[in-house]
Amino acid sequence: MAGLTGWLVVDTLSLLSRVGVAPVLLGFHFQPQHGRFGLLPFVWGSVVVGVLALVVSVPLAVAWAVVATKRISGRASSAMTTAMTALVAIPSVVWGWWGLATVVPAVRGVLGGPGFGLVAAGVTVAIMVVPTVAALAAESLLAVPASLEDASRALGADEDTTLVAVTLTAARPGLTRAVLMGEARVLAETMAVAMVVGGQPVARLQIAWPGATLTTGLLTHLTALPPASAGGRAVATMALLLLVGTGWLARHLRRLGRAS
Amino acid sequence: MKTGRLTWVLYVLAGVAMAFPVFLVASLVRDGAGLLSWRFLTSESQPLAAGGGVGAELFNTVYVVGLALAASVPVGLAAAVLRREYGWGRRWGPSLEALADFGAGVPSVVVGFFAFVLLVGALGWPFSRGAGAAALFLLNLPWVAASSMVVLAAVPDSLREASLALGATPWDTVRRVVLPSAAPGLVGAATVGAARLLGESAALLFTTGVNAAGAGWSFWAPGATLAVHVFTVRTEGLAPDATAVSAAAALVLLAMVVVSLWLGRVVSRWFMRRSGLA
Repeated sequence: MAGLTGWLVVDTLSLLSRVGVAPVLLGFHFQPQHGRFGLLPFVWGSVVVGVLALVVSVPLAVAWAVVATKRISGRASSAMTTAMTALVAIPSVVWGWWGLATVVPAVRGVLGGPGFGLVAAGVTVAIMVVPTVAALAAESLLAVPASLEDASRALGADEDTTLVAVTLTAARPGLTRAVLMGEARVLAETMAVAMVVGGQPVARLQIAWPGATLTTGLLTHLTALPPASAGGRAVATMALLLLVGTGWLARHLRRLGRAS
Repeated sequence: MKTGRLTWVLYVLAGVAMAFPVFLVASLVRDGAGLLSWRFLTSESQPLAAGGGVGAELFNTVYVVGLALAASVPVGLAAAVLRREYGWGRRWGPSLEALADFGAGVPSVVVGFFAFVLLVGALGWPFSRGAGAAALFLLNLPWVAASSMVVLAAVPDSLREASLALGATPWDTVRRVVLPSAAPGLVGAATVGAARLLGESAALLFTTGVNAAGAGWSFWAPGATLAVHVFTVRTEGLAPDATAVSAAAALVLLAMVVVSLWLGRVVSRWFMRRSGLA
């Protein structure tokens, strides 16, 4: 593991020294056959997909968790929480299949363009991680002591005020953890993104149009570029960026896990 | 009590959230259920013509995932037991747990990349079921180790102390006290790992190869799993019924995931009843 990471670092440094730091980190195009190794398209794609997935999935997941744990009870409640954990296991290729059938045509219809693109990828992955985030959010909502909520109600607060001022506030570390776990899965997701993103390594502001992410870039160029070439080193750099990103998230998650 | 405005919004959002998985399964059934038959489950896939099945892919899935699980679960569990029950690697403090957590979060495409570079590139392995199983082993090992450590940590120390006070050796304590009371949780962790491996494809695309040759039991033969098959047929399939075949293959894959989760629950319950926990 350490050896492999070291090898990625060596490859990255040699790419940066040969091609230059700015053309790699700030280059808008990745065209190895033309000597252009800009990684910005992939970083940009991962950021856009990550932000879109966050914006779409968090309200849906938190609503699911709140309704399942605080608004209904009995058998319906336990069915809703069991469903979350079971749905986490739906393979990402299956979500990709559905994204191709439903999300891509929907994006084409609403925003124009080919449909394939960063928006389609962000929405598909957002819907995919909803059960993951909801399951963890439900866990942290269940851990809020009922006495706190009872106290709020006894003071005359209605259900909505109690939810916002007491329940969600008390569960905040756990909710943050749930959202970051979802985000880690989004950043790492490959297949569901690859099926709907369109696969064009160009950084552009029209996010409804085809793009690429770090994971799909790695997948596409993994075998296509020889390891010792500049292109192969660019692939190693993508893998390193992914490791750094997920490692940073894992570190934060550990810290949150200890705090809550 | 009057239902607040925010609560209504939450009901609507929760309804939307739960509608998507239903919608997903409905689309798969609409496009693929018509193809499901004994013939589909047993016949060879057809790259260009209609009427292909998933016989070879089904076999490869059981083969590759089974091999990876058979290797990663004992090794991961042993690592967790040595670390938690015998205190191995104490000198590194919590960094071993951190490493396992980190490893469990590494994107599967990066694991596939490492497996490709190491096995296919450096060691000259062919694209094969063996290389695929090795990639899945690397993917599952940190997960098994990390989750087993969490499960073992939840076993109360009083049980261990009681066993040792009665004169049991550390190994007897692990075997007869710690593992039986941790068994339901360990089975649960292994089940989640199994479900994840069944659906994995990013780590397999460049290790098992994508062509499913009906190659008997050979370890060195290429063999795409069902998840890889869903991806390739859906994105680059040339058969006229590619959409239906990939939907039907996805339904078979979902069924396998559901069955493995259900089996895990049954086994977990059995262990609970045996140790008198439920």
